[in-house]
Amino acid sequence: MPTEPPPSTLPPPSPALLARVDAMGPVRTRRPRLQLAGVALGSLAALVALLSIFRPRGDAASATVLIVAGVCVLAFVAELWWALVPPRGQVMPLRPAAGARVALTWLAMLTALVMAGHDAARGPTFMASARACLLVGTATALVPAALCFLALRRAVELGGWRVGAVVGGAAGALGALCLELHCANTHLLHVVLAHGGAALLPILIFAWVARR
Amino acid sequence: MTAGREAELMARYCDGDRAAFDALYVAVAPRLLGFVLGLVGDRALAEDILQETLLKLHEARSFYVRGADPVPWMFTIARHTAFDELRKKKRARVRLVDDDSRPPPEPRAELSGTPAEARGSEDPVGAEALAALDQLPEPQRQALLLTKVEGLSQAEAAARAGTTPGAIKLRAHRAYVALRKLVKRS
Repeated sequence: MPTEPPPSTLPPPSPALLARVDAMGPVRTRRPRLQLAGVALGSLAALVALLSIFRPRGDAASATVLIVAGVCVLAFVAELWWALVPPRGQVMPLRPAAGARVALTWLAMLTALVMAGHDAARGPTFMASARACLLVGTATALVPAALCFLALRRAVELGGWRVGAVVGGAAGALGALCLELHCANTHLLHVVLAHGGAALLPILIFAWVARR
Repeated sequence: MTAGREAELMARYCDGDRAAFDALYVAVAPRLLGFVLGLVGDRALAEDILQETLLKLHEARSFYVRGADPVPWMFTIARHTAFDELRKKKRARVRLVDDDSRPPPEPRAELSGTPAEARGSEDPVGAEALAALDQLPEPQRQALLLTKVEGLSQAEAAARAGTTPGAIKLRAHRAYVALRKLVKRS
């Protein structure tokens, strides 16, 4: 049996609360799916704008690149869904094992990036554009992260690092997608450390930012 | 009161219905107060935290998703508000110790809301258990209070604590083992 204090001992609402309740008007409640669509479209528009500046790689239309890009898009949408849409009947968009979900999605994306093929012997060296890739990837990730935090501003302080990690996962996936379409460096170390790192960095940064 | 009724009241509260706020307050505030009291062990502080929680809820109405059960969300807000207050109190206590170089009196956990003095020495084992409860890590203490004192199922407790039923089960078990050891030792 739940232990509740008897109703007679329940204090009345405070004057500050009553004043706000008396003055309240209707508020527009959150519509998670609409927010998801807005954040996804806004982020993809930002990606297109960035690619018009950074230019897509020469073989961007090849089947391999498109398959890896598809994996990145799937990871982006899945993590955006976990970040914004709560489980049925709940208010908070918190999923069980959020950290494990983000880690597994990142690993799946990294596997796709590596499996897409690399040629260390002929390819450019690892350091050639690693710093630029990290910068471009992280800059791309800022757009969906900012939109998500704007949509979730009331949940971030309650959800803590898990909300931050999932938002970072989605943002990182978009960063990895941008790099896959832009960077032609297929050196194994470059792909793992620069592209994989650009997808991982937002997870770590935003989990740290949103921690309690 | 069912989750559906609470969801309906919350939706009306978001629409600016004052009567819905009153009904929601009567339905949820006692449970929130009992929960917070279990966390902080001080009636006056628990009442302050309840008011702070309801203010935060009022400000966050626009985050509510229509049709969803608002109670676990309210408990999450209450839990975070309580932890923030406890953290503030802890910091204030550290400052006091720094200033006076003498330790302040430790507040006792009170599950019933009755002052420790009023309870007297009726139940020495119960008093030891309450004192030992203070020494448990916060997540373990919360899991124990929700499952063993409030009598919630693991799924309900997990929803309130913002974690998984498996984690609640593990924390409650660890808390139970630690509590037994502490009571035995004393």
